[in-house]
This record gives sequence, C-alpha cells and structure tokens, in this order.
Amino acid sequence: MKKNALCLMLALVMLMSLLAGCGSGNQQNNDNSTTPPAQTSEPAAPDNTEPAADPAANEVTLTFWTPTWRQAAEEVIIADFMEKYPNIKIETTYMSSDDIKANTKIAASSNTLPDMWYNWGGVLADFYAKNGLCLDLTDYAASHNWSDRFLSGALEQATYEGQLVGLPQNLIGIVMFYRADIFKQYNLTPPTTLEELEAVCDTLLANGITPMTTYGNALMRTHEALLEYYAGEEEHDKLLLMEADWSTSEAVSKSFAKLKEWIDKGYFPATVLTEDSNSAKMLMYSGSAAMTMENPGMSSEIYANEYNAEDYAWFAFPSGTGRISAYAKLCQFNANITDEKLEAAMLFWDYYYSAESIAAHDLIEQPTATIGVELPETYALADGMLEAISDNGSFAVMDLKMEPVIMSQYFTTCEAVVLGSTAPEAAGAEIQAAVDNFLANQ
Amino acid sequence: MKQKKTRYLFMVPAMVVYCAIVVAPTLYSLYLSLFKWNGLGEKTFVGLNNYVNLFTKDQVFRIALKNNLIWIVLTIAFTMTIALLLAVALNRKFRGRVVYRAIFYFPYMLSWVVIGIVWRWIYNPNIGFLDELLRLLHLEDLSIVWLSEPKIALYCVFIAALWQGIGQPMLYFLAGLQGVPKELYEAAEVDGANKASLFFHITIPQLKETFIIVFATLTIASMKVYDVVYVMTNGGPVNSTQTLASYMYAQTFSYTNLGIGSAIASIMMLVMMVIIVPYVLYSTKEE
Repeated sequence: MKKNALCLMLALVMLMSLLAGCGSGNQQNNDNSTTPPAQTSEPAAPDNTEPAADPAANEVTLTFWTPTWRQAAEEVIIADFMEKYPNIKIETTYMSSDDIKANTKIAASSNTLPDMWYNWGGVLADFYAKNGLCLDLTDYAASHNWSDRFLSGALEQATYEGQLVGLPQNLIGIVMFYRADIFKQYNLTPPTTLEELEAVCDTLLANGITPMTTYGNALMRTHEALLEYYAGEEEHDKLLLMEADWSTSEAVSKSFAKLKEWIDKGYFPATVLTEDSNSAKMLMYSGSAAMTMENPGMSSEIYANEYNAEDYAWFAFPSGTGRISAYAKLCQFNANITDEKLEAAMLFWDYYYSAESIAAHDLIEQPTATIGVELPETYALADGMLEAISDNGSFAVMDLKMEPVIMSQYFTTCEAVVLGSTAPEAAGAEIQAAVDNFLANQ
Repeated sequence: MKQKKTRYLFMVPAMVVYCAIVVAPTLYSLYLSLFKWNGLGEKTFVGLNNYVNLFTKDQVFRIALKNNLIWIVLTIAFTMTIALLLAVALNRKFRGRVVYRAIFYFPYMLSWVVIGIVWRWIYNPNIGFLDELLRLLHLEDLSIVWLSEPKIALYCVFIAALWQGIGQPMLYFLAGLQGVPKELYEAAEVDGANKASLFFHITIPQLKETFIIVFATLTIASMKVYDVVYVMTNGGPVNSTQTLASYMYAQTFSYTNLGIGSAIASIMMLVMMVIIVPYVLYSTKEE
C-alpha cells in the first residue's frame, strides 16, 4: 500500500513540476514556421535605392517575425518580392501582439533573435537598443537620406537617446472619430475647445446617446489627452520622461478629476472598464454612442464592414496644445546582422513601400511613415491625420513611453479613480510611487 | 533481479526526456528565483529577496495569491460537488442519458476565449442575459455592472469557469462510478440501506481514488487559472481578479523581472504541494 501511495505522490509531483517549469526564463518558444518562397523570374533592380552590395547576386535568407494582423498583406508582398528577387528568401513567422512581445524577449535572452522583427516604437523597441541587441540605423539613415523618405514624426518616435532603433513603417495618430450623421441630427459641430466638447457631450447625453465609447485600458487615451490639456507640452513630456513629479503635479490631479467627472456624468458607457475593443466600437456603429478615441485602423474597419463611410469623420481631441497622441510601428534589425543581409532587408523594405507595391497590395497597413504614399480608399476617413500631426506636433502615447511596470500601476490607478476608491488628487502619488520604485531598481 | 533491471532500462528514454524538458527547467526556474535578472546580461544574486519582497511589499502578489486560494476553495466546494452529483444522476439509467451527458460535457470542449466572451455578454448590464432576466423578474434593483465591481468580479468570473469546468471532473466521476460493483448496492439494499446511506457509505468510499485525481487536477487547474480571467477582466478592476499565473506572466514578459517571475512559479508549485500532498497522504493512509 505504501508503494502505491509513493507512486501516486511521485505522479503528482511530476504533474506539478510541469507547471513550475513554465516559470523558467530560459524557454525557447521560437516557432520558426516559414513561408515557402516562390523563386522564379529574373531578378530586377530595386525601385528607389542603390544598395552598396548587391544582395540579389548571392543567396540570402532573412528571418522575419511579424504580427498576424499583417499576414494577409505580407504573405502576398513577400511572395511578390521573392519572385522579383529570387536569390533573397524571407522566412516569416507570424505571431499575435502578445506573442511577438514575449517571444522577442525570450529570443533576446538566448541570443536567437531573427534578422528583423516588428515592434512598436517607445519602450518596447528601446529595450533592444538599451541592451545592444538591435542595429543602430543612424549612420545608415544619414547615408541613405531617410529624412527625405520618412516623416520626421515617425523618425522621432523611432529614436532612443540618439540611436535610430528601427525602420519606421507607420505613424499612427489617435484622434476622436465621431458619427457625423448624429452630429448633424443635433446640429453639433466638431469641438475645438474642451468646453465645446463638454457641450457636445451634454447635448448627446440629453438625447439618450452615450457621448464617448471606449474600453478598459483604452480609457487612458482620453486621460492622456486631458493630461496634455492641463499640463501643456513641457510638463506632459517631463511627466512621461519621469523628470517631473506626478505626486505634486496639479495637472495630474485635474486631469484625473475631469476624467472622474465625465465618468460620473455618463459620458462613457457604464461597462467602460471591462468592455472589449469590438463591443465598445459596436456601440458607435449601432448609433448608441457618438465618439471614440481611435487610430486610423478604424477607417479600414468601417469600409471592411461596409458601414456607410459618410456617417463617420474625425477631429483632433481639443488638447489645448494642438498636439495629437501618436506612436510609430517599426521594423528592428538584429545587431549582428551582416551587411549583405542588411542590404537585402533594405531592398525588401524599399520594395514594400514602393509605389508599385502600394498600388498592388491594398492591404498594406496605413498610414505609412513613408513620405508621399497616398492613402487608399479604405483609409479615406483617416485623410489629413498625418498632416495634422505634422502641423501641430505629437506627444508619445503613454503606454509606449513609460515602462510596463509603471503603466500597470497607472492602469490600476485609473480604474480606482473611475470606481471612486482613489481620489483624483491622490492618483499622482500612486503613480509616482511606481516611478520611484522603478528608478530605485535600475 | 534481471527482469527488474530490464524494467528500469525501459524507463530510461522517458526519464531522459522528462528530465530534459521538465526537471531541468524546473530546477533552473528555482535557481533563477534567487537572482535579479532582466533576461540579459549579468544576473545579480539576491538570495531569498524576491520571495521576501513578494510577500512583504508586493500588494498585487498578495491579492493574486488570495484570489488563487479563494479559487481553489470555490472549485473544490462547487465544481467537484456539482460534478459528482451530476455524475451520480447521469449514471442512472433513463431515456436521453447520453444526450444529457453530452450537454453537460459540451462547455468543456469550448476554448476559454469563447467562454470568456460569452459570459462577458451575459454580464453586460445593457443587453446581457442576466440583467434582462432580472428585469423580467422585476428585480432591476439587483442589477449592477457585474464585472466592474471589485468585490464580486472574481466570483462572476468563477461562475463562468464553473460552467465550463464541470464536464471534466464529471467524466472522471462517471468513469469511477462504472467501476463500483453493483453487488455492493444490492447487498446494502437487502440490509435496508436508504439512498443517502448508499451514497455516503458506498459511492463516496468507492470513488476514493477518483477523488484524489479530481482533487489534484482541479487544484492544479485552479493555481494555473489565467485565460478566462484574461478574457473577461484582464485582472481588473483594480487588480481584483489578478491571479498568480497572470502576475507571473506580467513579471516575466512585460516587466522582464525573470527572477520575480520564477519566484512566483515556485510559490505556485509550493502552494499546490502544501494542499495536495497532505490530502493524498491522508487518503492513502486510510487504506
């Protein structure tokens, strides 16, 4: 009987140790599934660059990690590229947003990063620059006139302490999309001041329409715009850089107080904290909500779902400074990439954003960070967004400017303010405590 | 003796694989938990500091640990009990028994993401089933924003997990019940035992080994709970539904604190052993 008990115990310990094994930081979850290349026709010269070496002359294989939401577009682009340059093979692995964040970090710890990978600008990309894992493209950019090719705002978002940490792919602004038909019905015009925005919200509320819809952590988009309004450019930037004290900032208290006031007035759905992205937007599509802070992807979603595009438009949140919150999407390159591979990679990106490719691949994510690329019809609703960023400037979205551990506290504080368990004037102290803790651990 | 040696030789390949993919990473995880490390560069030995800090300074960890313990208690109290009762009911012969078995097992086949989305809609205060039901029963006053209320959010998520999780233990109990000799019931009935006596004095003792398996698997699943929480509340509001698994993931992959993440993994294993080992010892000792 004792033997049976021992066997049972051992089996259970084995079962439990499976779980503990999951906590190891040395996992290698690098699923390098590949897209088979189609190597056929004659090689052709690149469209708009003259690479130093000729990567098309030798066999070059590039490994590339990219998000699943780009799979439909990139499978075709890569196949077309490899048909054009048969000596360059791109082995692509598609991953979800969370997986690409986690897997690149795992790969970094085991020195198995791919040749190039997708990333968001800000702290996520800076991590690789800080640790010398991604290529500093500053010299390459200077010698290839990137300042003439890419939007200055995108290059700025891709820069960390003087290093260009990636090739900018997109510059994404966050603006207020609204239901133009509902605005028209109640004789409303896009507000240009915070007071006007509140007047619009009051009118909508009086008519049984939820003024703004958003979801969970995305509530921070409204709060960071309010922070820009109360703090102004200089203080807001300092707060994001952890150079100003959140606990003593009057702007932080005022911005949280305004957010709480809006919540209490019913400017947001009651389910705002636990809503998900799709159901939050459904409120707008169904006409029960009138505005939402979103990125240009909303335009393509409206077209893809065949909603009436004429019913939608956007305006910049009246932040007082005119600046729009924005972030860049990048491609980072392995610090150990060879010159030949780098040239091949750049040839790929030249092709990716060339006029020929943009015309042939309407699923390419827009708006691109490349100067002179016209928006396709599906992004018509985002027209003018890049110009607005260019004219008025931008501030970095908070979750890509501040460390994740601080953002975690920020989200908790935001929720606590919304629920009333933290007073708006005490919110800054909670966030500052997380900032202090993070700095102390550096 | 030779036969005994051969027996062990056959186990070697499996043991090598097991050691390589489970034992070694587990030991390495324990080792990492003694360091401060961001996954790159030098590791700094901090001894038991990661553990001490988690228990003394980290409020989120304490909430997560408490939530996991609550989850275990709820799972054992409700999931195991309801699964047993269903198994006993569905073990009896009646028309449509197979259909009922399939119905109760069906939620277990759904992914946690689907479960999370379905139940989030059920809890939606504007168009959700629950609030519609309350309105129908003229109980509107009881309506709240279920998942946004920190005091009840965890229990709301648990109900979704309960609905999904009953199928598997029910199946284990059904399998166990098939092995209970009918003669035992017949003999007891001849002696005048009523249905309650049959259940408590025959069914329960005869299912002892099944109980051990169900108890262990449910406890392990409770410690690992993550997906349904991630989909329904993402650990919120105000960390009220945070669990150790989600916090371990955040520490390891979002904050790149691999030492702390590994310490949480070790604590999870320890908690499971503290709960499961005494139960197994007690159950087998009786035999």
